[in-house]
Amino acid sequence: MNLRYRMFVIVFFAFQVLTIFKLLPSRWPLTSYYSEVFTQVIFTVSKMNHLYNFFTDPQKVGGYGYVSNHIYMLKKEGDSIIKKDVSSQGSIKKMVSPVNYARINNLQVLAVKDTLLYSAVVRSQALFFMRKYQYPLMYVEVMNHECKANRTQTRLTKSEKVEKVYTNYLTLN
Amino acid sequence: MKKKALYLLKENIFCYLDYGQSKYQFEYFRIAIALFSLFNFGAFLYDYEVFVSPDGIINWEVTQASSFWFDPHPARLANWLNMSHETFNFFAISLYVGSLVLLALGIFTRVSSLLAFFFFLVFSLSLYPFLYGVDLYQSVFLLFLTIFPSGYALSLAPKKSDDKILNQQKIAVRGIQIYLALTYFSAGFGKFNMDSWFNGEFLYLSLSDPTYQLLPFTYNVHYGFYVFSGVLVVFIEMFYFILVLIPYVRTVLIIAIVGMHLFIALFMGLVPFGVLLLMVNLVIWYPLILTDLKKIFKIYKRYELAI
Repeated sequence: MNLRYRMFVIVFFAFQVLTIFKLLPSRWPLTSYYSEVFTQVIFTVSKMNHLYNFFTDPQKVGGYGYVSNHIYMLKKEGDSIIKKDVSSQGSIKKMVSPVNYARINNLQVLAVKDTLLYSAVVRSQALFFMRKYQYPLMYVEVMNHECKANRTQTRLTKSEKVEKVYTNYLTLN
Repeated sequence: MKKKALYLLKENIFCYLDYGQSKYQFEYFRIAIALFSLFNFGAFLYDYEVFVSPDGIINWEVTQASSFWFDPHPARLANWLNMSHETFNFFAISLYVGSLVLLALGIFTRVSSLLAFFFFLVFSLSLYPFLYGVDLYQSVFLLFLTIFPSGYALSLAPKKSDDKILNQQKIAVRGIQIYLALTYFSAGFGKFNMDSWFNGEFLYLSLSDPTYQLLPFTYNVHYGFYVFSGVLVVFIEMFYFILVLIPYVRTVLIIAIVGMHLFIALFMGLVPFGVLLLMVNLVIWYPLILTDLKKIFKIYKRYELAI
């Protein structure tokens, strides 16, 4: 019995080491459809094909960036347009409690990482805000901030290059 | 010498299994993970309307569309069971929370850990755009709890744990110790390849990122603080697996790691991440830390008597 437990630990770590040194593909080129499904299930359950490089982004060696999100809800009352800002400091974090700030921040990052998913996400966001605030129109603007730290004597200061990556008006009609 | 070499070769990562382990350590680990999972899911439930509701900010249609046909996505399970999404959500939340409570109390731990792990997977499929490293760790720790026996002595309904069970629990603890060392190494190695971690830039800029910080780090400190902290983080993460084996140094290491995770929780807003890693480090290494502290206390007492 102990041998089985030991084998589990050894196999688990063999895959972890392969993952760290990027020797494990995210999918194996298996010919059988069901063996590919099996591999996916094993990876989903065990998380053996995940990297652990939190706070690092090898694609951005030497740089740091973040994505900000500005969302306004709009409605017409008489002759005037009423605007409601649902974002704050470039994030919709005021929608959630402080413990969940980092989780909600993941959404806006999708705009530069997975644009296909983001277009579905932003529509879902629009439905959510329209239902919550009873405004018929949502305006969203996503900006990518490339940051640089500059040293002035003994202190660091920040300079940013801001680029608009996504902008859209969304309505139910 | 030859005998020792043969032993090391035969036992490999399981050599000296008793070293640095206490009798019920894996059960403390079970309680810590169950309580953390309750806290982590409780934070999601606190913002139910945004995260957990089927009509949340990312509705179930979107997350189901990006899942595989065989993934146990909550919408798919609700349709399969012929239930409304809201009813299924209520049952799934109740079962997940219930299984975590049972796991913490040490009742039916095999079944409750399997249920907790399954419902964690179910919810992670609908919540995946909000997940990050902490959920990866939680998933692996729950997997260990489903594989290894964890509910014997520290339980509301205690059972007798024999040497066989205790040995299996020791294998689990050794596995988690190595897992921690590996993940820290991987994180440190990633940072090592980034110049911005050595000139303080990355730390300074991530602390001034307004989108997710919990408490703003507004102190206008000397740039040396960021350089020193960045280098220290890379060093302790990369060499965690060696430093944790050296008596006394490991106590300093764990204090530094705890400080680092507190800092991450408070100033980078990654509260669940900071809390989980802090808890796991303490639970997994406490026997070694206690040994160090006892020795330090003895030396201090002897010194005090001498003067």
